[in-house]
Amino acid sequence: MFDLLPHINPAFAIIIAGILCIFSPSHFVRKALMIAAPIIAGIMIFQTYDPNDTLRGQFNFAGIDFTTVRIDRLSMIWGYVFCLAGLINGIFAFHEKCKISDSCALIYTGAGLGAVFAGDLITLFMFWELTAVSSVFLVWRGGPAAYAAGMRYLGWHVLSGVLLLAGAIMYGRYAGNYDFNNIGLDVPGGWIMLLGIGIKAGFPLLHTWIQDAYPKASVTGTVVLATFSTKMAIYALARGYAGTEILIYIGVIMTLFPVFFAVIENDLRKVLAYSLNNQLGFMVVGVGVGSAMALNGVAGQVVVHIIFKSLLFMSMGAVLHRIGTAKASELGGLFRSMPITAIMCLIGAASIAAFPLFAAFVTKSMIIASVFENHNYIVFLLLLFASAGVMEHSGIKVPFFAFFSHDSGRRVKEAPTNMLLAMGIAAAFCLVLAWPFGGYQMLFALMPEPEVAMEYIPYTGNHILTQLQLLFAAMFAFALLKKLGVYPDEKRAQILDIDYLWRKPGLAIAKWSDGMMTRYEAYQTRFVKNTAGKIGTRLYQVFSPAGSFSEDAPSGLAALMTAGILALALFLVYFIR
Amino acid sequence: MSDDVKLNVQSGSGENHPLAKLFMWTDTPGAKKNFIWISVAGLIITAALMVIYPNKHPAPWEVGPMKLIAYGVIGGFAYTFVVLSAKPLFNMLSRPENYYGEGDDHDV
Repeated sequence: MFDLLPHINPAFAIIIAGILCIFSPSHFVRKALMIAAPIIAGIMIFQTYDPNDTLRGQFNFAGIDFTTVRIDRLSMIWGYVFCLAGLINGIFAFHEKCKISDSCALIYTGAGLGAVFAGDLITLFMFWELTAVSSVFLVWRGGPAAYAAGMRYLGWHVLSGVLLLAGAIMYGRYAGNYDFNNIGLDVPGGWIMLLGIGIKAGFPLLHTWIQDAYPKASVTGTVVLATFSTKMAIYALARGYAGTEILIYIGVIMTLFPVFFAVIENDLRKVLAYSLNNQLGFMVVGVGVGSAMALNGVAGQVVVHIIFKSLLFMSMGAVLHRIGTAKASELGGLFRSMPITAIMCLIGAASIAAFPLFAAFVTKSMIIASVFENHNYIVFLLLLFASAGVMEHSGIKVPFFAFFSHDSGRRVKEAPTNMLLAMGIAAAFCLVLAWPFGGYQMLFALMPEPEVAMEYIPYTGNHILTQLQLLFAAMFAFALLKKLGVYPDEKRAQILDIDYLWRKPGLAIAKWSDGMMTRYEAYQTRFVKNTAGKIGTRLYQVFSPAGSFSEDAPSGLAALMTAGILALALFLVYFIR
Repeated sequence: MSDDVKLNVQSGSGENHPLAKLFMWTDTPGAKKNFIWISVAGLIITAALMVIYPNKHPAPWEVGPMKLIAYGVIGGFAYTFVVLSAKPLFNMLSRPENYYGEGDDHDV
């Protein structure tokens, strides 16, 4: 029995807990499962990891070799942070009494974990689709306004899975196996799989499901959603496409365009969704560079990003929970009512902006430095530009408009204790993982190439100064633009993104096509009915006992003529064939 | 709006949270007026310290005085560019809130 344990994907511990949640009537049992399951999965990862034996759970079915468990250094760091995020999410959602949310959150967490531990493309596909099916319920928990967004979300994710499977089959036929290792673009199915993964990773033009669905999900749903799908896709890129140059340019675009949307967006959860896209861009760039340091930076950035983005989403979730809106135009001055949440949000903001001593300072710089080492100065410059953009939307805009700015006059209770605890844990990790004396070294020890990581020293005088100078300049520009009255006020509006194309003209074309089809079908039915009716009437007029054939000759003659025609037909068929 | 939001929108006692005093200074006219000088001081100090801690691997544009202020120039320019682009972008891309007719996101 115990010999089998290392061959079981740790994801199943969480997925089974999710299934049990469906049948558990007790709120506390469900919450206990939500907290215990990620811890158990984390212990399973720790117990299972063996650097000399990374492939487990192998069997052959229908002629395909499955490898259901692969715990190596690349997947292990993803696995640990997924378990940590699952635990934090469980604590954050402790107050929520909803079986569907609890079970779907757990199954979704487990599916994400299962995907990163998948050793073959078919297993990856199955967990890939499970993330889509389980997570859409978290979107729908956002209420009736989230229904259409949930359908679009599901459509995108199913498409992503179908593309992954199609590419995997093409690749499998070419390679003779479905092992999930480096794939690249030069093999059959390589481009298709990249497209499928790109949907989940939020590639430009394929990104809109993030900003569409995440802000519409429930308070807790958004926090859970923001953790797994996109980072699972980054893992798939790191595993299958490391060093693929085009990813550098895709990633740069991903870091840049969300900055411009975030500055005009009023819904602060949507701002964070754009910010998520921007951070994914840094990771995609790192995968594109593909060096050991870049991949270490990507893995590290995934860890800290999951934590600080959860923290920011949790803080805005707490605001939404108490106030009922996360729109910047309706908020302001909330530090008076929710000062602890404000502190947590500020820690998250400082972390994403990469202030020294805060999370991303160490990891993001590894990615940017690897671009510099590649002598790709234009990309390097654009990443610095995007870093200033991060400071704008997540470093300043989110905390400023929610907690400071003008006093909205709202006086509410501080966030519930469980939310504060979850935010506190995330905030502590933001600080610990950037702490120069033994803090970031713990993160480095978990990276895919720890020896290379340990050679990187983030706390040099020059690195601290350049980063601080960039951030101080952004703060100066903010203060100056505010003083001059140029900084735009937050206004309630729907901001159009590329999804306008399918939500307006696309929908209009679909509705028009549907209307045309309905009319065509009605015409076709009428035509067939009329034509058949006319033919029937005509035949009746000719051949019936009262028809024209019976007018001048007895019906016996008509029968004889019919028999003669049939005999002629048989004769012709028999001899001409 | 989902049920969990509806149920938990709560009004406080109308008074500030005890810990709010940590941030009360941010609401004073002096803090609002002088915030800009904190960033100016930060810029001057970092530029001055760059003399002591020069960049060992400078980018091609870090020449002359840019050795000391390149990151400040990039950060300031990028931030200003992004913020100034907001107005034309908003005019071009904004529509009424229920433009898609699907109901609004979470709202009061």
